[in-house]
Amino acid sequence: MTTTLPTRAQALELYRALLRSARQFSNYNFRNYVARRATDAFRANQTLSDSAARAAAYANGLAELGVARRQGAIDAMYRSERLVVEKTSRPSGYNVYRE
Amino acid sequence: MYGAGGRAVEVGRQAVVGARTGLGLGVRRTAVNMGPSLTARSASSLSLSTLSLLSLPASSCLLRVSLAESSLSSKGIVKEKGKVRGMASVTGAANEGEKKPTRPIYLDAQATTPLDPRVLDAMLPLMTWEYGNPHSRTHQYGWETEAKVEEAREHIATLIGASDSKEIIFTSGATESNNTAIKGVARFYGGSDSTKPRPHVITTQTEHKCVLDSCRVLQAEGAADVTYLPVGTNGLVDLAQLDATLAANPHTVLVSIMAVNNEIGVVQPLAAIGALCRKYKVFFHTDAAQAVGKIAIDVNAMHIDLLSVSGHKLYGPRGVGALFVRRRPRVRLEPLINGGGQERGLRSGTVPAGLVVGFGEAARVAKAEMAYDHARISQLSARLVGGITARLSHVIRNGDPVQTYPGCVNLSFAYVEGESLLMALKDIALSSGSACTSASLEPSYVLRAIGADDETAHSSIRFGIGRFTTVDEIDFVIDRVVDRVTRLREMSPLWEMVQEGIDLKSIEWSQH
Ligand SMILES: Cc1ncc(COP(=O)(O)O)c(C=O)c1O
Repeated sequence: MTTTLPTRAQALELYRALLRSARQFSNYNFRNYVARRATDAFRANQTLSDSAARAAAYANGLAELGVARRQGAIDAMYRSERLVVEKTSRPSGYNVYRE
Repeated sequence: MYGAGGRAVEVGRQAVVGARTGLGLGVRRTAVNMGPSLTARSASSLSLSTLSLLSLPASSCLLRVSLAESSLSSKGIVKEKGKVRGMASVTGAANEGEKKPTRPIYLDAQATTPLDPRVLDAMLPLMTWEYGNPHSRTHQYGWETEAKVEEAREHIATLIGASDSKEIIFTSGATESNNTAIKGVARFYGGSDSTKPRPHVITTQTEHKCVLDSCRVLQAEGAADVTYLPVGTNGLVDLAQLDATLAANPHTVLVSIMAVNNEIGVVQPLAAIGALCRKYKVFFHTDAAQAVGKIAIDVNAMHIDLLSVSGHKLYGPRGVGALFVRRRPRVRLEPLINGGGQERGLRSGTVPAGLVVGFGEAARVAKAEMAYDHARISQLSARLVGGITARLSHVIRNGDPVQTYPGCVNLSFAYVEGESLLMALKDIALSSGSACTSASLEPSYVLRAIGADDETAHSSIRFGIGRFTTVDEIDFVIDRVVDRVTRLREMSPLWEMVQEGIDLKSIEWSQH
């Protein structure tokens, strides 16, 4: 795990990448969770002043991004019917994550 | 008229039983839709006959499954869908215009939880190329798997505050952990030595079936005496009564009281129970299947000697669990499963490394996410309860409203029969109680134990909110529940009488 202190631009890029990875999930609940969790974490960590805590949060975010990319790709291959509450559009199908 | 009403409900029953015996989707949907259409025709007798049907033995309902299966050709009925009168009255017509089938939303987090994507991510290497036997000592395949199993053990120990990961024994789930703990301790401390007094075990009436049945087996074998303590109307044990029972039974070896109840969500006062057990030098076992990963548990601070965990209740895989067995002071038990001596000899058999690693990751995530998950689930829970009670009267919350885990909300809707409501809410995966008892038509023994009358017990529904539940899902549930309860009540002559101010308790029913 990296322990580098992220720049503001790097942190934002990680956030955007997490949101993109969330959209890959075909599962309604996971798709929403990954995006919501990233948003809530970035909001909560905005005020982190301790540099060790910021580096740890960034490293954790990178690890979560790795999981979300891999699991999003798998999830897109095993699709269920839509849930009754599902309104937002779903990813079109298996789609290896691209930057 | 009575007969007609009874028939209508029978169709509904077939639908429920049919669904559980694995009929195809087409038949189930059709059958579910049939019930209300017939009940609409004989609407006025619905509730009376619903209530009377409850006294039918379960077997007579099971017999009708075959009839339902053979007489309802799924295609034929589906084609006639439009013709069936009154169908939309209860089940709603929301799906009518849609072409694609949809899946219900999941609100049954006490039965089981979905696998967290982080958990599957941790498991996949073990399901593909990392397939070593963790007990193989002679090659890399074994070593690498063993290292991962030990890491998982650490995560579980950390989550429950155990000082040493050696205190964690992997099992197949909380059922096995509970069996091992209860039978194991009673048999070890009683044993075959007939000169020793028969050991005594204390538990409560609202435990999970696997705890109650383990105790019954001990009684049947003559291996132990068991006291089943009642609980208050809030679902909590009375500490003074526990104290008195411990004092009156000097041969007590074990107290087994669950942490969070799976039906009503109440949280027992674990620390106070633990302190009492220490005072009497009795082992304290807790079935924490519904608690671990959801609320803070510390086996040392709470003086817990044995604790059962289930993987699939905390977003881990189904088929794996753990038993915490304290080493200092040492708890001894007789294993249920004998063999190769794995897991300190307490649970022989090759440890299922893939499941265990998923379970460990689930525990790691649960620890990291506990504050976030708890805050969010509390919000959703308050939204659900507030949203329903603001728009419906005569809704009872079962179990203590404060000493509770907010992800488990058990509500009774007076003058509505729970199974009818579940059928009318087919777009939501819900349960009227625990999965293990819902196959029978018996009202929940947990609700009985908290003093609920039959009608309340039969009109209860459990809402299980989890990590992945969304606000939209909760709002959907509120709307559906309010709508369906209102419609079912409108069909009920009992509800009509209540609205007219008639006291139902004063009526003498001729049929019963
Ligand atoms: C309180 C409680 N104990 C035990 C169990 C059984 O757990 P498992 O499915 O892991 O055997 C459950 C779940 O059904 C439960 O809710």
